[in-house]
Amino acid sequence: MIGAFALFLAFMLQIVLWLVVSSFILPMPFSDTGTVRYRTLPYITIGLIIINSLIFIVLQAPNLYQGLAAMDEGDRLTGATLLTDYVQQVWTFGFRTSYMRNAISIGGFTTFTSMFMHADLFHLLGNMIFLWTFGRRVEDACGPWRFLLFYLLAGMIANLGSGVLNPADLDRPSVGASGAIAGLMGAYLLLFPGAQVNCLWGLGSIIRWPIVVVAHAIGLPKSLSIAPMWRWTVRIPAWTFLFYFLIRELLPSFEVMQQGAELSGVNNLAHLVGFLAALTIVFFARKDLVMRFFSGRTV
Amino acid sequence: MNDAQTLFREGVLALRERKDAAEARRLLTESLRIDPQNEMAWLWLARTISDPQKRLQCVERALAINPANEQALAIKRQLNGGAAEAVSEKKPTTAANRKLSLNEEKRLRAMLKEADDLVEAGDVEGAIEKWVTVLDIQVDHEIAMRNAVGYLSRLKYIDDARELVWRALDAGTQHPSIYLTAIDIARHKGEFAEMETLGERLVKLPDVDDAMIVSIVDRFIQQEQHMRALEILSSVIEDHPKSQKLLTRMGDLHKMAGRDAEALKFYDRAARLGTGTKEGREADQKLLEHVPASSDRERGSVALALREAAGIAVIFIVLAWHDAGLDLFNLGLERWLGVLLAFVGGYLLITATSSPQQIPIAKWLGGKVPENANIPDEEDEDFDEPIAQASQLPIISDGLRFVLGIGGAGLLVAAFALVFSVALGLLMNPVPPTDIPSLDQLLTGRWW
Repeated sequence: MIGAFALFLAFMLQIVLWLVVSSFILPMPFSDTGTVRYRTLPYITIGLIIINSLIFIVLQAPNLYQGLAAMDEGDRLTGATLLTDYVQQVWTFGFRTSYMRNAISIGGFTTFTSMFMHADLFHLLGNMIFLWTFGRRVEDACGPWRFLLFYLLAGMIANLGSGVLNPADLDRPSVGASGAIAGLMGAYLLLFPGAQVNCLWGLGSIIRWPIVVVAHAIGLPKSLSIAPMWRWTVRIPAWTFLFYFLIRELLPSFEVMQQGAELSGVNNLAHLVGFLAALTIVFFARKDLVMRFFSGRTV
Repeated sequence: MNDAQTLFREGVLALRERKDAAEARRLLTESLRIDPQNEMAWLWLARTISDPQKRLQCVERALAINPANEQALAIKRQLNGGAAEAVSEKKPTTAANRKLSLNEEKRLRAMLKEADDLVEAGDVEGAIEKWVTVLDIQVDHEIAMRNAVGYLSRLKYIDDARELVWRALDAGTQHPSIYLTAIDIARHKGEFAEMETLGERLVKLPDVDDAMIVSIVDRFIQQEQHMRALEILSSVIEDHPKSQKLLTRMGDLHKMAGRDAEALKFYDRAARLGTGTKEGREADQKLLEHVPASSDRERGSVALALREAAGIAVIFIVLAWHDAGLDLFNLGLERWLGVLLAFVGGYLLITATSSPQQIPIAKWLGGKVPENANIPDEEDEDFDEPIAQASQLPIISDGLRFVLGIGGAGLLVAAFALVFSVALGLLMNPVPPTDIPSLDQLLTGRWW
């Protein structure tokens, strides 16, 4: 019992540590300040988070983490068996262009299965935080079922683009919801550029502190002079964060498209194409919202 | 000094100094109960009452005591010519709208110049005489009126200024600025009822701009007469259908009255006229606080429904693209047929579910306008759709919608089978990949 509790604590500590480290240099958005105008509960966003998490926890994590634990304990046979199962899952249900070109595995269905699989816990956590941050208002803007269609379409286009636009055709499996989520981020940028996102951002909080001290001392600007001296979170305009995301994905994607290689474990090209797939939001947004959008009014 | 006189004096002070019409009315009524023969008390009481009929009764009581009372006669003249008759409908008198001859215009210009020279020379009274002479020729000459009233007020000859203004009003002037001057004088003298009457007449003038109307309406709001303000605005809003200022203020008034759905309609109308203006942005911001309103134009639009069907068709094109080995130019006839079916099926499903009010389709399919127009329930917190404005659109019957929905869903299933045929075959009989690397290969190689 105590052992299990200690393990749980260690696990949680690892997550907190990951959050602190990953949000120190670069901002990690966790919520937005915009108003949800049509409904209060984002059923599909929550549903997608649950499904993604369940698929990882139930189908992938046991093989991966028990396999790694067995390897650590020196049980190489068990470890290798479990890890091989994990690899087989990823290679069978991940998105590979050859599965469509040569009719292997489950063919085009891998575009869906890959969208609901993740490489490890932190891959899942990162994606789900972004899905929660940007998904709710986009779901609100579309309604639940149209939002689901848009999410799936963005994910499909992201997979398609990363396969078609990469001349090297390395044919390595791609997994993760990030292509679809990049689509949500692009849609968010289109629809709500004026919104603000609350971010965990260590460096931002540290930079903010002396600015607020000076503002308190001289009484200007008024908004900062009455703000708390220290905040663990930083609020930044959505468009700055999303443009930063776009530019961050743009350069490695161009490199992939030119050199035909994947430079790291991150499929930046899928993120970029998914982001651009946001343009299809025009088919799925609510009627009144579309009319407002094209007449230049706030949506 | 008897009690009636004391009460009378206190009543006048309450109105003149403290602008407290209710207290003044109470004191003057008390005074008149003791001494009903005080003609001045009747006239002051008239100033505290907004209802023109009751005011007239007070004035007539004063005239019954003294038929030669000039002030009472003047007020009676105003009341008979004012509140009961909208200025826009009033036939302009020759005095206010008479076309001047060239000679007269020349003469007026010369007199105005002389008046300016007299002011510069410090002879204000001489200048006033000139302006009054101008007003004798053209009773509502705006420059002469502004200058004459301005200087008379500074010299504390308020009653004289008032007389000039009322002469123009009685002559049927159409200049809003003169009405505004009259309102300012009435406010200065504590004549609140007169202010209201003038305000109502002002907003109906043909040349009045929306800023003036808003300022009048705001005065009613300040006096907490929201319903009166709403009535005035309602009476003029259709003459200014593109005034974002008026539409927004109308929304504000409905909101103050707790009628959010009505308020939204006016904010929406204002915002639809464009958000490039301050008022447009203001209306747009106010809309943000509410669930948006969906108009009949949006709900009845075939194009917007087809747009959603096009979205479904795009999904099927992407599916077909996957299934055709990622070769868009080799989709084949079968898959294109699937895309077409998806478009049709999607449209039927959308028509059955979210767009049963497309005007030509609903009419063609025998749709009817529901008897109980769908006024939204503002208490309903579970908003799934934008607030629907009361609609007069025909709607397809439930039975037909069910049939359309089933038909649409069937077409979508068939379309999926056509565009994803290879993948569906693989789902039934998967082909295991043979090139999965071993664990050792993965641990030593770069594959992620």
